[in-house]
Amino acid sequence: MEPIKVLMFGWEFPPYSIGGLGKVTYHLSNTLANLGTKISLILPVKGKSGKLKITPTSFVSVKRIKTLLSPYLDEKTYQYQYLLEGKEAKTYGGDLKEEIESFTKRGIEIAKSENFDLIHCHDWMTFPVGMQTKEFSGKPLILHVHTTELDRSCGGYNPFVYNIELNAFNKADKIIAVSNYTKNKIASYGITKDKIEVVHNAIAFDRARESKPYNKNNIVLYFGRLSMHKGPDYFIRAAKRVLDYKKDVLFVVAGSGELLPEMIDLACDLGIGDKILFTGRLEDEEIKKIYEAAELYVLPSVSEPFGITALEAASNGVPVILSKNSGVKEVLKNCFQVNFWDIEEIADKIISVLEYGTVKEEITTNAYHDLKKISWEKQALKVIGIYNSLLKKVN
Amino acid sequence: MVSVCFYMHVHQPIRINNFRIFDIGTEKSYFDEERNKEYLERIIEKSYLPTNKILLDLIHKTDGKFKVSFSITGVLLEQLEKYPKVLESFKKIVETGCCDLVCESYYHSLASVFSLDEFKKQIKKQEKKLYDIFGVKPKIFRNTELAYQNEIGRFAAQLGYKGILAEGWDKVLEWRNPCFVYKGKNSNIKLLLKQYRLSDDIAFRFSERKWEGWPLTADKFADWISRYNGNGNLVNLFMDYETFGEHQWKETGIFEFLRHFPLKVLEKGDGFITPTESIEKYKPVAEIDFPTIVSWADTERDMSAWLGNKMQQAALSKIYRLEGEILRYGDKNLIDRWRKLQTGDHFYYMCTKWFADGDVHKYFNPYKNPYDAYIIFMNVLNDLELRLKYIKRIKNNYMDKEFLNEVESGKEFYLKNGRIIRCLEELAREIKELDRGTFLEYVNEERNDFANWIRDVIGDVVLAKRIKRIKKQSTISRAITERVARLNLL
Repeated sequence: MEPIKVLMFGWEFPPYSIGGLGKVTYHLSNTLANLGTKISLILPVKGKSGKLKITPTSFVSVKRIKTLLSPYLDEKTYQYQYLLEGKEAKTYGGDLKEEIESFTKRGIEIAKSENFDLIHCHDWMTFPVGMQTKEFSGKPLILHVHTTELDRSCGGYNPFVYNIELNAFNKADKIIAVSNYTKNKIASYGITKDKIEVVHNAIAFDRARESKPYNKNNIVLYFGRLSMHKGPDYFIRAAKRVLDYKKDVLFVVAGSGELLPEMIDLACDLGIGDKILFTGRLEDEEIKKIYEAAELYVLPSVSEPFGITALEAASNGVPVILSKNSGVKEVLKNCFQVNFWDIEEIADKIISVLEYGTVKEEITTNAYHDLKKISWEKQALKVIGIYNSLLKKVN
Repeated sequence: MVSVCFYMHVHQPIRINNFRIFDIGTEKSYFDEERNKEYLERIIEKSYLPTNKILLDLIHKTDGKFKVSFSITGVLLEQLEKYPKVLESFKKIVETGCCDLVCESYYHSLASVFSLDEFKKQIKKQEKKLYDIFGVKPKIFRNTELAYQNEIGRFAAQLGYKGILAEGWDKVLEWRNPCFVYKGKNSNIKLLLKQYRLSDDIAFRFSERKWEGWPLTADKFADWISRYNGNGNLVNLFMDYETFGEHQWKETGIFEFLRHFPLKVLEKGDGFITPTESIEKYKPVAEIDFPTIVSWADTERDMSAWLGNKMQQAALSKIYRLEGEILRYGDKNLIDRWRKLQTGDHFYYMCTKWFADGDVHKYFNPYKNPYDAYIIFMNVLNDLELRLKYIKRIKNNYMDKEFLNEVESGKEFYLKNGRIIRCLEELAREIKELDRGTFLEYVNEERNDFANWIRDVIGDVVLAKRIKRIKKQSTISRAITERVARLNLL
């Protein structure tokens, strides 16, 4: 049987990746290729990045487009990027809209020279190029949705982005959502649920790793972008509530983002500036160390389509307190689930885990069982199933 | 002819409040009255009232040939006191003489595993409760979850019981069948063994459409019972009472089944018998050795749903570690609460073995997951321990020179007149000088903020208790001054 040839518009690989999208692109394309799919991967890259630090298997051919685009970009941050990279300004569009147009144009040029059966796009910035490729090639279009404008914007969404998503959802032949939570979000655009398949994200879990050394540092970790929809302010308010009750706890806010200055202010206003450590953006090695030191991981997102960091924390033997508004709870059952706005409840859970060591032991052991059930291979097989069903329909 | 021994276990726990770590040391109540009321009223409506009506009708209709037996836990009987109609419906059945009451631990606890002293007290309490309400002294015993081993049998025999209920588990019975009376090892207690296949056909499989026996009709079931003719005397159908109307909803036809299967059994020439009658009528055919605990739970028939994980073990060992001190120092109310926390259901909610597969055991489980169940339980237990510590200190007139120290910053007592109090000495002085109006804001019919501050921040519970009910300004001030003098002598 001829291998399925997929034209995939993805996102830059680690360590240049931002958030989970680059990781997902890497693991998914690599695993798909290992299972016999031919992947032509088109990656947006920043001007400065050189060679890929990690290379996928040779069955993935990678073409790169120089652009300022990166996942989770909005107009304001785009302008900031644009100014930073000023000297090369000729290459880039003057605003986000222009830059997407330019990316789309160059993407199509590459697409025209490729031979493929299917188009597979990851998140909204690649949707226009996906739609146009479908138009000229007549091949089926799959949209892989990791986050929607409704998640990112916490209410006040950008109509420009929303309309791209809405239009693409309508034109797509199939939509892959990273969770049932996200499936419902997509359905709220007026898309019929039959068109949406759920394929959860996974992580590469080292099965040999069954336990981590017991520590009692009382370090509570937040790790993620500092954006409104991630709820870092709830984390800091919960920290305050904890510290009123229990003094010997240290809170670490790892990650960067537009809310960083505001969060530092908030911590100082609450009088807990000395108890909250802001690390800024971390390298992979540092992240590993911080997971090792942490006693507890909190993901207080207002809206979290998946939340792959929860799996990473669990795989490092760190118990997780998870917002109910998240997709990852569908696979990580052994965790605490809270309402992101319920500071009392989050604080109660934090202190309880620190005080009652047994619950930590029990929850991490059982979380390993959850992790053993998921793998990129299983998820890639689901994706191949979707490819096959689409191709059958076409032929 | 074979005789059906139809026994039902009736129990509802008293569920715990959503007790947060911040609630420790406050006066928040341990038990969630509203939720318990909601669950109980639902089960009364769906199960107790309709089932009891059918049972009583059956007894009348068959001229007392139909017989049934119950064990009703003390914690449920206590809750039912607010529902005299329901208690009455049980009483009416017992009064017919066709109903045997089986005894167990009042609190439906696991005390048999952790403390035989405590176990005995809970049995005695249950005996008294049953006598007070029903005027009955049972001869048959059943342990929580039918947990049985030789030692439990011996213990029950020492307390005067003639028979005990246990699981008719193949691994113990081997070639023997549960349709006879047996004898326990190391005692003269007689064993009545659950016929788990037929019992579970009703309790678990009745509405299971994929089961080959579905639909289970009264006629078919009576036939299955009849097959034991020539191969046994007894068919012991033991199950949870809530099978009728709750585990198996009304819509499944369970009530119709209950209404008819006893008639069919009698029609076919078989009969009904109570546990007491069966041990009087039949001699044990052999002795059976239960060296380790066997329960009626799960495919493992062990206690792993209650004792299987570290949270359960930690919670149980903590609650039984308190036994000595709580009985020595605790008042009646504190002891009662400690015992209500021993109810097995609290530990069952912490079970992770189903949850690991993402399957929560749902019946009336108030928690989202076993970890919440554990944390809430431990919070309550820590509150109980704190109260015990207070009581103990009061009884021993506990004194510590540290009570004279200044409190850490943030814990001071801020008076409305702008004065800040940092230690007992300052408190005595400031109270003396307060104007009457301000004083009354802190000490009145509803509250005594000074006593609370002394208890929670200073930690001198003895002094706190001493001044708690005093309303007179100068007396409070003097009491504190005297205490300071005593502490200074240490």
